[in-house]
Amino acid sequence: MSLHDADPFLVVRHLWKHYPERNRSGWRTAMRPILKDVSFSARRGEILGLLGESGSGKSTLSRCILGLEAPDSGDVLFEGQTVRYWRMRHRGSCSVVFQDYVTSVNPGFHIRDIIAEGYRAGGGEGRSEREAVAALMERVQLPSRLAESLPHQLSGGQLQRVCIARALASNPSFIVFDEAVSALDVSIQTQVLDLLRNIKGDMTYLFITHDIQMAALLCDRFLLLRNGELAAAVDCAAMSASSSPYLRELVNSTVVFSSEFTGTPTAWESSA
Amino acid sequence: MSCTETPLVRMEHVRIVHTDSGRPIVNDVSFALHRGHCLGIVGESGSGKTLICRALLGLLPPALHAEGVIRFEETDMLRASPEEARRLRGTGMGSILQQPMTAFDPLYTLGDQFTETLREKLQLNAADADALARFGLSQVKLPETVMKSYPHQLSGGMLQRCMIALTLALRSRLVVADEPTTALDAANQYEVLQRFRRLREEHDAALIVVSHDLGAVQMLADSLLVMCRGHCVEAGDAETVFNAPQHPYTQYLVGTRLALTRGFRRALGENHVSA
Repeated sequence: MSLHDADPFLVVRHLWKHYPERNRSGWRTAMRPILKDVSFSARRGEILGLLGESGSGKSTLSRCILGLEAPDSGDVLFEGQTVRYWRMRHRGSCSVVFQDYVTSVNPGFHIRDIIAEGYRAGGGEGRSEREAVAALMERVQLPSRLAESLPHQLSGGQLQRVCIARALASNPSFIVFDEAVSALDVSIQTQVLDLLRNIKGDMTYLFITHDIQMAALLCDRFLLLRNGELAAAVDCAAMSASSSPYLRELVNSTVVFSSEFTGTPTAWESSA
Repeated sequence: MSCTETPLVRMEHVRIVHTDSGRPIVNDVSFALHRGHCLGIVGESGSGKTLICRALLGLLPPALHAEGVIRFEETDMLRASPEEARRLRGTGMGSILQQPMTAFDPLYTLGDQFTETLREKLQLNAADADALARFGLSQVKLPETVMKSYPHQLSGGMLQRCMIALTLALRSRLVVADEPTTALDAANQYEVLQRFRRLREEHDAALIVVSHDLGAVQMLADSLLVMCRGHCVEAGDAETVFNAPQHPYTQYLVGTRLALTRGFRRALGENHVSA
């Protein structure tokens, strides 16, 4: 769609990725395409959504973009440089927040050390570490008394905030959120989405989700991935104008909560 | 709710207590559920939603016990023998639990587990059980190859639908669904919710849906129970509670859920007709 943007931050060109298929005895039989000729670009500072069903290749695409996995063919370019080269030049410039916050952190680490890890990965120095961690915790609205806690003492929403703080700690210009809010309670999801918007600054986000309502709330634009192919790129502001049949289908099967309630709810003393 | 017949499920002042410490975890929950009706239980994680279901099914963890009155049809579930409760689970009350990955035995194919359950619960012969299992799978749009698959070969969503298929095949009079759609993506979610709707309409079964997703609950529930930290803070007709929430906690739940749909509504120019 916008391959010809004047100054794209991220360009993905003709990406192909196959995984071996195994038969019942465990032998590799054929190669199954997971990503089929995926091309798109993201502007600097954009919140780009990646929407698709489970198994559509969302996570594989994000891993290729982060350079965690090499595509079979095609390029991933950040500011015109290959992802490997760019990440080597710009330490800590890419961060990722995963869905499962419990397995994303070391259960034996204190919250302070979990966040400090990200700080050091970004080249931060030991002397200013304490203040940096305190500032990060404030930025994701975590009470400072939690710094000496262990992961199991925190609620899900709090722990995901820790993961977000750790992702921010390396001062990245690009963050991938891989279903980062999907596992949280709906009431907490809204809070975390608000947080993501508030802390964005000039960072670029890739926000992976299967929930179109969430994509519409947070993203500027989202890509629809279906069976490894890019089905459509949708501008959130002009969603109703999109002619994509897959988008129609998705919109029609979305369960939308409705209520005549108009009052502003008093902020409930939530455990998160 | 003007039924004069005796309700299918009745809970009166149910408390769930930690046996050792005597600490109550769920306080004073009461409701009645009639045939063909659906009760939604909403609230945050840890509010006691799941425990209410487990108390009804007679599946509380050993460290907890329930007090009060829990009746399923004629049976007093708090005094029922384990055998009696086990007989009721399956044919009387089916359950669809939160973690689809742990609901099946990893060492047997789904076909084996389906036919075993159907033969045991419905006294069918092997061929009939097999046919019924295949029919059940087709009802939730799963291919027959699932019969030969092991649980680890299927996705969470597929296993969730397997559980639903089994409950449908057993024709339970009550289906307890604990977060039935949380693990599913949008298209499958809609499919499953439609399936539940038909379950009520076609089989006159009663349904208890537990979820923190108010959208899913709204699509199914006639009446509603709002749980917060072990207390039932609001109860009543689902539409009334959703449209005019009284308790601050319910207002908070409704408000945050509405906020989440705001972008979607705006993007579609508010003309999207909700389910």
